[in-house]
Amino acid sequence: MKRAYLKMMMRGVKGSFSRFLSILGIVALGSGFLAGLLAATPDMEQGADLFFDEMAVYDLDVKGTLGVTAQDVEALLERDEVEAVMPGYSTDVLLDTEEDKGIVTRLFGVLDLEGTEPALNKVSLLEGRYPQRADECLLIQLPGYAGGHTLGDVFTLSPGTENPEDTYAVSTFTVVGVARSPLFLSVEADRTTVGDGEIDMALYLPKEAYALSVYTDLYVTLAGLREENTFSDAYFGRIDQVTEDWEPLGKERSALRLDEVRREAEEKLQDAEEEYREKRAEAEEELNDAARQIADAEQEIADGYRELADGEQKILDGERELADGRREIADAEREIADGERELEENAEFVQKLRDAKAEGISLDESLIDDYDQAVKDVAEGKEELEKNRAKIEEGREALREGQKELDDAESQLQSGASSLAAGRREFESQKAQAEAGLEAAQAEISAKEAELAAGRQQLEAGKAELAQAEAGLAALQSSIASLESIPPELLTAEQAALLETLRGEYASGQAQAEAARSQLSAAEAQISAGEQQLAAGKAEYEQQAAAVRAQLAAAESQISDGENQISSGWASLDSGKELLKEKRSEFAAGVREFKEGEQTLADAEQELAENAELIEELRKARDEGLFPLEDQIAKYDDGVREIAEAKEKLEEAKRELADGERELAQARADLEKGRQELLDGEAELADAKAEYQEGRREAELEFAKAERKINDAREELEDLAEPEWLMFDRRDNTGFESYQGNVQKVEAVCKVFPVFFFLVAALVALTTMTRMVEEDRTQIGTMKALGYSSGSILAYYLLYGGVASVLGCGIGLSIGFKLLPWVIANAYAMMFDMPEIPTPFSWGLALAVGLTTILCILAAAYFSCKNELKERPASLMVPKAPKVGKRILLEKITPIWKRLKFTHKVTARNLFRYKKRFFMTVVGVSGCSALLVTGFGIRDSVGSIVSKQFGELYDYNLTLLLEDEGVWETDPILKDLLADPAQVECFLPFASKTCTVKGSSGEDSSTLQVPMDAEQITDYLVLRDRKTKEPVPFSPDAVVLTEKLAEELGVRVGDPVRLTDSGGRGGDVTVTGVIESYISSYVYLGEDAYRQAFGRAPVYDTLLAKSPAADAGEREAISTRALSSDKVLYSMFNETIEDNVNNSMKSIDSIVVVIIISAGLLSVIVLYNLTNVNICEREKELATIKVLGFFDREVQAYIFRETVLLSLIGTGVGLVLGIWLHQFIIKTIQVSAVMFGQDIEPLSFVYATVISMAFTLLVSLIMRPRIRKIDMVESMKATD
Amino acid sequence: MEYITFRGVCKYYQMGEQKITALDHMEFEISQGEFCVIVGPSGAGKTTLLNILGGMDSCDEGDIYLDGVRISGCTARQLTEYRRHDVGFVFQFYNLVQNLTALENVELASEICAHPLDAMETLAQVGLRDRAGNFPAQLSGGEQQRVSIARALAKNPKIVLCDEPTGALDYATGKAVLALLQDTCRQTGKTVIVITHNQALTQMADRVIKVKNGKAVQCSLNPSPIPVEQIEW
Repeated sequence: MKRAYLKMMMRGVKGSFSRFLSILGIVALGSGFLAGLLAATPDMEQGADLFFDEMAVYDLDVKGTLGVTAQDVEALLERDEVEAVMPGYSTDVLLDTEEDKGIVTRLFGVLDLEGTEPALNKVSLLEGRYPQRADECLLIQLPGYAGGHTLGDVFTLSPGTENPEDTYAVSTFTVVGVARSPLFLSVEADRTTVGDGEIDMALYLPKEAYALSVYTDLYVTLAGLREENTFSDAYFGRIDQVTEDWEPLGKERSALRLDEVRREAEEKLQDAEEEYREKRAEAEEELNDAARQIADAEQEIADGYRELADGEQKILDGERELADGRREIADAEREIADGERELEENAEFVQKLRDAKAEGISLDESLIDDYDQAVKDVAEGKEELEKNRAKIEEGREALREGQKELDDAESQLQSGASSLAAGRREFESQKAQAEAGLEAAQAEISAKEAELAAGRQQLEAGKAELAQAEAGLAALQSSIASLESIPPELLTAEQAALLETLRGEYASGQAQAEAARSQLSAAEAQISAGEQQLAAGKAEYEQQAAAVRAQLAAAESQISDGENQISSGWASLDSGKELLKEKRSEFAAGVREFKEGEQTLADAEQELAENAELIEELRKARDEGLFPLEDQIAKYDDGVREIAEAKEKLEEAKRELADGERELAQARADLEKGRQELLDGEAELADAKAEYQEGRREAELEFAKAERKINDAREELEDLAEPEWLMFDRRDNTGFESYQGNVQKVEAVCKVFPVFFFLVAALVALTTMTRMVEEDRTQIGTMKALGYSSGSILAYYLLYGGVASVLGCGIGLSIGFKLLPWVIANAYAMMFDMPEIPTPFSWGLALAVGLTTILCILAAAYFSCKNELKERPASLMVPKAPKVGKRILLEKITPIWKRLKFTHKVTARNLFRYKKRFFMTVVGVSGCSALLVTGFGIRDSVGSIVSKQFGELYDYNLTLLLEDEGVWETDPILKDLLADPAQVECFLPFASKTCTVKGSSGEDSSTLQVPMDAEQITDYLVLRDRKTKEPVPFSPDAVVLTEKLAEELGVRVGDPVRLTDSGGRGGDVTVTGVIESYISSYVYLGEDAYRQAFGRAPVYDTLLAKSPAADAGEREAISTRALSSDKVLYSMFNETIEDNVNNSMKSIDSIVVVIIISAGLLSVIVLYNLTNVNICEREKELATIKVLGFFDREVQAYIFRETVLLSLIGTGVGLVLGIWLHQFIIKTIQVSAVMFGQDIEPLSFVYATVISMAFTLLVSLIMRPRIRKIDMVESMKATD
Repeated sequence: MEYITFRGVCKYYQMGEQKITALDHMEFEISQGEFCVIVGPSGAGKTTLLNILGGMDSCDEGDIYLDGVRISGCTARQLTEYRRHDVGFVFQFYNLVQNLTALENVELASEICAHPLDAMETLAQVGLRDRAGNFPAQLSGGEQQRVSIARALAKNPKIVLCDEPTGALDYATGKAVLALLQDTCRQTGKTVIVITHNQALTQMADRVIKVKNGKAVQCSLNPSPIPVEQIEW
């Protein structure tokens, strides 16, 4: 190629750079948009597939209704198609933290304590580490859950959890890691039967956190499936195949499992029976011991009474003896006194006799007379002396008395000391006795305690047995839960049937467990009562012991007081003795004095004295005849001796008597005490007897209960249903399902929409190319005239178009492949928690899109060039004659034309003068605005489903799935809930059933809904025709189909349809109505129609209800309350569905935004291109009017008025086209069961128009400087 | 001061590294009602002079007055106003808007100015009353130029600037157009300035300004202008 030619080409590009750019831009936009959107859903699928593969998510999740075992793992591993098996536990519970209560959580026990990741169902650890202790866990928060828990949070099982220790080995879960799991992709939560029915978060636990003996789940991956796209039909075909293949295996394994369970249960039962027998024997032993102890105690008390009686007798005897003693003593005293008196009488005489004898006086009668004389002489002296003697005698007497007093005091002290010592001894013995009594009471209390402990042990054994039974129930329940997590429509017949039986079994097991529980709690109450009594006994005992101890202390202190008194007595005695000694010496001196005086008298009297007495005596004796007198002396001495002896004996008797009296008093006191103790003992014995009776009654009750429980367990075991394997795959995971659904939705939009977009872009690029060639006419002529060949001229334009489109494709594809999938996936990031999706450059797609684009442009260049080149160079060089101005139609309507401003006339004429430009603009702009309308329209259609379905068509807002018909009248929780108008205004029972509906041109699976009362159905649902909005009548024999269903079956009112349920029953009914409905397909049947089809009465097990609940919190509370009844299997608010659907609408929104932005960009480029062409072509005209003095504003208006008008026309056409395009796309992307709205909201047209015009104005703004820069000198140049 | 006064007007163009002086202290004066012809060879600065006088460009130095108003130093907006109200422009290639009829082309100008003459009257004045409804493509070159003149006159401007008005016309038609311009000048008393390279036309002018190398080398009054019919070239 020639250099000049090349240069010319470079200049060509440079000179018309804006045109080059606009071709490039349009191509980039069209190809990028098309390729990017087409790649979006494969990229999304690939991203999820990679995530699932990377995390080794299970292909199948096998649950056994009685659990699964390590042997099951072995059995599965033996199969060729199995790649890996991971056994584990999975349960749904409510967890609490200190702030949050009742977080609905799914627990997975699949980790080990090594801190390594699980083999399957891996998670990507976002922070922290894997658990290394049984009470540690990984936290997975669902994208929709706003709990915001972090590392270190501690969860505990909610208090309502039943028998947590049967299932879990730990009671707290400490978060040590936060992870993301493909099992929880979506904000749409998995369903469950606990809490409000929606999973909030999940925890990965070590297996050690579970206490179950069998696994709940086996997670299986199949060989060769990792390579398959998990969304593909190939993948699910294989899954379905394997699921079917494994059915016999499941049956076989389940049978083995049943045997094992039976065997284990049998063993356990036997153990339990054994234990029961042992326990019973033990308890009876204890009771017998207690009875024996009571009998012993009674014996002891009887003995005590006997002893008491003996003691009393003895006291009486002692008293009698004492009285006798006293009498005897009195007699003896009297005798002694008599004896003494007698002696006293004789003493003087005897003395005289003795004296006389000693003096040697012969004691005969002659003396007497002599003596009488002498007496008279002496008597006078004697009288004097006698006076003194009396004084001395007095002093002596006083001394003697003093001595006597001292002696008495001393003897008293001595006896006091000795009695005190005896008292202390007595006290010690009593103290010992009292303590022995206290110890005996203590021993009795301990025996009682032991008895109670034995009772409690027995109770615990009963509880353990109950727990055992409930563990069975829990396994059952988890199976039910897993079944229920499947939406009812998806339940297969077997699953449904199984669910029913499981529910039945579960309910009866629950009832039995409930009875056992209440018995146990009664027993526990009795034991507690026993414990309370014991405590009371103990307290009483403490009190008594304290009283006894206080008494003892008082006695001891009295004794010490006595001892003190005695020691002070001793001291005062000693001082008394001292005083007496002094007195005595004084007295002795007095006596000596007297003696001297007396001596005189004595001397004088001596003779007389010696004789007088004697004489007197002799006289008497003579009178009495007592002669000889010698005998009298001896007799007297004997009497004296006898009396002394008698006195001594008497003293001794008296002492003995005093001792006896004291002893008797003591004995009496002891007796009283003994009597009191006996009474106390009797009271205690009565209590003990009562306790014993009660204990025996309780024990017997418990025996009966335990026996019943064992019998129940045995019956239950005998009734044990055939277990089953339930197999779930990824489709049963809500996150996966929702992701798949959303991808399909996007896919539908992405496949149709960009094609139209691409068409518009291609059209505009094409036109631009054509016009360029036409404009270059002169240049082409010159080149031709210069001798360049047609080929090389053609090559220039082909190259120009080729370079622009190749560059455009390159830019568009590389951006499109990265950006659009990213934008769309990002829109889903809000709903799905996933790693970034890969955005590979897809060469196949790139080639297809690129080649199409480039070929289009080249073809345009080629054909327009060919057209020009046909002409001769000469005619080419002459500019095309300027187009002749023409009057337009509008001018003929003079009234309008006249009224138009001059410049407007120009515009009007210009518009119609350049038809090519007109059509190009209109096509381009209308294409863009049609895309805009479609974009907004898709949103309307999809969005309106929700508002129409839930806002207009459904008047009810709460669905409750029940265990059985009629439970709303029998179950107290449900009854209360339904009777509370603040929670549920009203409700209508429905029978709900999935079945196959077959019409003339197709069949589909649908849900039958049979209202209990046909008249009331319209209070809950709006049955109307979509177009006419006329109500569709409903009666007991009505058969009303939703519109989409009717359409798919190809039936109309009056046509027959065949209903077949999962059991194969069914029959034909005639359609009586078709109603407007957008979400889900339903057949509403009257009761009679149902009977006609199925030959039986429907089971009303579903309630549709109206609830005034205003916000999510209230709705959650109602759901929680409803689900707290075990008769309610499922509770769902329409608002929740609405939220979920709206959430997925948001993702549609983001696609619409992508569409709108792209359509906007397209319209900017189209308008830029067209305005550019417009200005280029009329540069001279514009320069001229500038010279004429048009202001810039006026010049711009001159040009842009046309552009705006063209855009308006284009937009108008686009709006109409948009309606068609929208309809076409909606029909294409509609998925089964869902019917999208067909209408576009008026506001969407407004949006489309406004956006279209806004872009027009934007382009005008961009082009303003371009016009301002037009040089007026252009006007001087020759015509182009 | 005369009606139009140029004092020391300079205009420079920057062409790459080079600074080209298009007008070099140009000085001249034109009186009101004069038929003035500005002549000079190509590259003498005629077009620059025309651009500046026509308000399409501004000078770098010097002062320009029209009817006592200083044009030099006007803003772009003021220049547009100046063009709009005070200048009537006749182009070499007529520059009619193809999509407008003869009358409409005249109206295009008269619509926007302050004291326009009646478009139809003006058109009649140039002898095209009968062709008023025709589109330019239906008119001959002379007729088109006459429409162009009518368009200039209809604005009732202070000056009529004509850039080689005969450049695209054959000899006879050119003469007729010039005659029209001269008559217009005489009859309406408008100041008409014709820029041309044709020396012969100086004979018909009241005032002749010769331009060379950016300078007005001669600015003289023609004591006896000759009607254009008598001029040959």
